Amino acid sequence: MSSLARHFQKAIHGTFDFPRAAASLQLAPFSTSALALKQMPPRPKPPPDHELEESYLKGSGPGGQKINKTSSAVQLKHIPTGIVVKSQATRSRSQNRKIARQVLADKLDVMFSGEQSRSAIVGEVKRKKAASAAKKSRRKYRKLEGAEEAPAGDAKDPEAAVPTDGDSDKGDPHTKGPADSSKS
Amino acid sequence: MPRILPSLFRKARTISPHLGTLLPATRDLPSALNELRWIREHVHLTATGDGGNAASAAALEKRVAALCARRGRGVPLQYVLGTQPFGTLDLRCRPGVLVPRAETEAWVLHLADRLKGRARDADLSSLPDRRRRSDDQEEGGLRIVDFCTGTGCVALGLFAGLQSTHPHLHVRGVDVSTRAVNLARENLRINLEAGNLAAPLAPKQSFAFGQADVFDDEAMRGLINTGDETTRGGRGYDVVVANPPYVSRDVWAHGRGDLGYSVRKYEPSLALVPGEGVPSYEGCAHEDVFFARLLDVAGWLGARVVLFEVGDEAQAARVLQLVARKMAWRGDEIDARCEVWRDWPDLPPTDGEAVPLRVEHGKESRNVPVKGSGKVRSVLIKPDVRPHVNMSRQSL
Repeated sequence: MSSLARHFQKAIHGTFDFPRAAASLQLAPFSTSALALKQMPPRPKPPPDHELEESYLKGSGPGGQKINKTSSAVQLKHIPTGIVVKSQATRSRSQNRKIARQVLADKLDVMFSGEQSRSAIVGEVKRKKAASAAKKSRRKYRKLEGAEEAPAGDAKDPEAAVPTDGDSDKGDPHTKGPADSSKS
Repeated sequence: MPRILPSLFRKARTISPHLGTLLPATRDLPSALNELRWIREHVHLTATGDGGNAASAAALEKRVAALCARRGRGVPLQYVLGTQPFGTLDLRCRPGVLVPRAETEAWVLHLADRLKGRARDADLSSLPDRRRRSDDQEEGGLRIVDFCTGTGCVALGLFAGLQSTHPHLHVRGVDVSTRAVNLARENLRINLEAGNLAAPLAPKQSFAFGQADVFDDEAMRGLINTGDETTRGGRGYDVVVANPPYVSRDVWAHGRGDLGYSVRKYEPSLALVPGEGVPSYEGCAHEDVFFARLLDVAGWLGARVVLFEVGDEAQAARVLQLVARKMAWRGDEIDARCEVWRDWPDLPPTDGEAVPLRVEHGKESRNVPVKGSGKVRSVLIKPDVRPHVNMSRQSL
């Protein structure tokens, strides 16, 4: 079972485990984006080990039984591009190694795929959701405030004509006009 | 231990008073920040587990402060939080049982890879050897025993790493301490429930923890017949692993800049220093006594792979000398059948780390290959197959 599927299973059965989820999925635990992410493009694969230079903080102490360290920071350098990623996210060295590789893969994805990268697509979906939620709440409060006005089947969403609502993101889908109903 | 400057305390406290509390234990600010973050995560995670009302922010903060105070006194973080991640597992930790180290995790993961033939040096994947007795009902089975198992981390880590590639797999974890055995059993149960480990597929797979003293001949004899009830007769073990007590009495008593303050004060000496009651072996330093004994036990069990964690390079060299003596190997056999691993066995060596380890053998000096990067951390030995497990053979 993939790690994503396993976490999804746990969310359904109510045994969702935050630290492990955070370590391997880098998500907030109780979000509906778990569903949305199933439809996202798959996470980019980390580059092969021979392209990487992994290092660790060289301690001066003895190690092994004689010392009980609590953190295992991992540093990963991608030799071809020179990108360096560090991770101390979790208390597990093996988890941090995975996280560092995934973060590096995401950075390379952004670098090479730009708008088509998974991060850009996920970011776009999140922006749409946030803007849609904001739009709904504005509509609700406007309705509450202006309850005496005719509620009229609003053919035209007054928001659509306004490109920015304090939302400075480029490519805001709301500028596409009322015909775009996917956000309602 | 260098003094922490008052200016660092001041700096820490401007960010959060908790950092000032943690600093004596963590020694530097970045570590304190990390540990505060983990303590907070833990408090919030365990608070939302409480059915009914969400705990108030003030109550949570109070709990954070309490945990920071414990940690600041030097209590290992793993005892404060009660857990330590290990590979894909999450292990419960409790006072009285040694906390799993990252170095141990590293060799366990690498050994699993070697047994699967997934590491660059693939030779261990040829286990089990075809030279088995003909009445063997489990061709292709792998039997592993982990001595001084503690939290069970090594046994659990190996089982987790091998269970999907080895349909025939029997793993046993042994400790003299019932506290450890109980904790190890709890860790098995918890990780099964959490789905970090799949249940062994009986009867070809099995997993169990048991209490035994490695110095007790009767108990070690009993190991041959335990666990795998489906086969007739005595069964040995293919792989013997251990992270036994290996700290010297001198280092334990005097520190010598070699022993962590919190280890000495809060972790069990039973797991770290061979006790006063253990038998002594001629020509064997007190801190090496478990290795001498476990080499004998491994011989009786017919092990083909033996891996021990060791304290340092000097101890690795002494263990290899013990091996050479017991096995009566020729010099070239020592080099061929032994390896020394550094802390991070799958990382490439840096500045001189690849230099072989010199082991004095009689009049000659051997060179045992060294793998990985970091400090010398473990010793791998590949003894001959013995056609029959024979407990009557006495060594030393």
